Amino acid sequence: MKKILFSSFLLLVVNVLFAQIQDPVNWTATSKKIADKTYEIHLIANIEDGWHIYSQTTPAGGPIPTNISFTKNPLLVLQGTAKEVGKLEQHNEPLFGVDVKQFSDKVDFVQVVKVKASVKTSMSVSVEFMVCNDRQCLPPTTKKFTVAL
Amino acid sequence: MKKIIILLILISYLPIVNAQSEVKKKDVIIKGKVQFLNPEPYTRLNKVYIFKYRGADKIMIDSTPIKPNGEWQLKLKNVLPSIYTVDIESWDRVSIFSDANLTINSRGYDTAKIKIKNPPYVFVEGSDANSFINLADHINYRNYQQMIADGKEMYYAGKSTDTSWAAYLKEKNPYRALNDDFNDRIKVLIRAYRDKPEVIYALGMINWEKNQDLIMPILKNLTKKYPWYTEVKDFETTMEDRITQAKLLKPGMPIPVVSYPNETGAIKGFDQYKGKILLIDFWASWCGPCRQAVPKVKDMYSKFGDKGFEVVSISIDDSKSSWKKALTEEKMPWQQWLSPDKNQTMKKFLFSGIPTLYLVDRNGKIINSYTGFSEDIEKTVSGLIKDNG
Repeated sequence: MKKILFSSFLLLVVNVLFAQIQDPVNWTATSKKIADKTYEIHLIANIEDGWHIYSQTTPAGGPIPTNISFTKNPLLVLQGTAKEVGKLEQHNEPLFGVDVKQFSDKVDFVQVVKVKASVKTSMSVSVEFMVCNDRQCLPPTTKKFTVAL
Repeated sequence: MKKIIILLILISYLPIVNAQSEVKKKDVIIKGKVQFLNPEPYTRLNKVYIFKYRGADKIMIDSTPIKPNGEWQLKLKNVLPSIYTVDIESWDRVSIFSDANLTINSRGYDTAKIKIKNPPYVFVEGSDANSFINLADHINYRNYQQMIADGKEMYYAGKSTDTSWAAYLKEKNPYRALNDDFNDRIKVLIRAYRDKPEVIYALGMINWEKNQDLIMPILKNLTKKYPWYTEVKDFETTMEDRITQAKLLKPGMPIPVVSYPNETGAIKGFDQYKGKILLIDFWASWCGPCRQAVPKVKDMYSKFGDKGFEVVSISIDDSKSSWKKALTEEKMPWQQWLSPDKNQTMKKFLFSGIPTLYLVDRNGKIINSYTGFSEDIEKTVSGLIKDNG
């Protein structure tokens, strides 16, 4: 018990130490070949404790939904839209009068793309997202990635 | 005579050679070995990422899976010397300077039964600049280890029946002593490496506000000496902006002049609030915590509104219609303005999160600012109103 108490105390200290740096979401972008000329693009958001980012399907009137946009590349065809793999937390928020759809901890945005010819190319993608914890929100910002295929 | 002229020419070129105005881009190979790989079901984390911080932005450069024997290798293609961060298995996070091929051996997975956030020290081999980062990181590492030890001691002292132990620790104030120790060590290291570009790594470890006199001359010298190192220039610009802005927003300074439109488009400013205590609430329609704070501000407004207390809300919404919709929902009985450019407003008032609230005195001078609603605001306002009878 003492050990557990002590480790939670340590975590607290760490949080205080890093509180000044406001970058609660760590993004990584990777690609994975799933079939001939077909790739999955994974945009993974690792979210710090207590913070949330919002689903692409968050209805208007609440938090601004995460928005993923791909730069047009004539060699590539997008297959559908980006799926969200993660634990969706959904609750009606009387403050906004709409359902809030959010992710904590981690979410993986997965987009399937087809390459028209067998060539090496890359996909440029930008993610606009906002984050909140229970005290504050950071306004929407955009991160850009380039993923090799 | 010719010889002398040649010598003179040579001497006159020396400073330029010293200034290293030309540095060639090159490929840097970083390889390493981890002691422990993540077991199932975390094997998907057995990767190494390299990224770069640019301000608050973290840019992913490359990644590679770790081989079953723990070895990995990454290549930075065509890069100038600069600071990068290598993330190994999400357990080790190591800063490097990309001026030579490097070797990073690290622990990897924490095999302890109870895992606490205590990353081990990692020594990067490859160049003098990386040795500097090794030293700076070591000071940081020792500081953290000592903090854990001191925390433990204070915990047991608090539980002990021997009260003189706890009293001694209270007097000693271990955390402050540690902080002084850290700053002193880092500052000596900075002095020793003040002419090297990698020193900016350590400049970021000390409080910029308290150490402006140390930091600024070093940055000025570095920009002259290493014109290719754009991050030094960026650091200098950020410092200059922060210094000017922080001076302007200290308690006691006049609140910056703004002119923002209200719902009808009429341009408004803070002048009209002279003689009143003013709470400026930066918010947005999409911000839950901001809207949770509204009833608390309404409560203060109903208590002190007729006693010389005023509120103005400034929204940083990009969408005018979302803002107007939120206004009809919230029905705040005070003025509502809309910032035409959220980034400008955030820079001007030095905040990154909302709600941010500025409390301003009767003479238009800043009393304090808060990010996240604070019960302190009501206490301060109530105190000021009582003082005034």
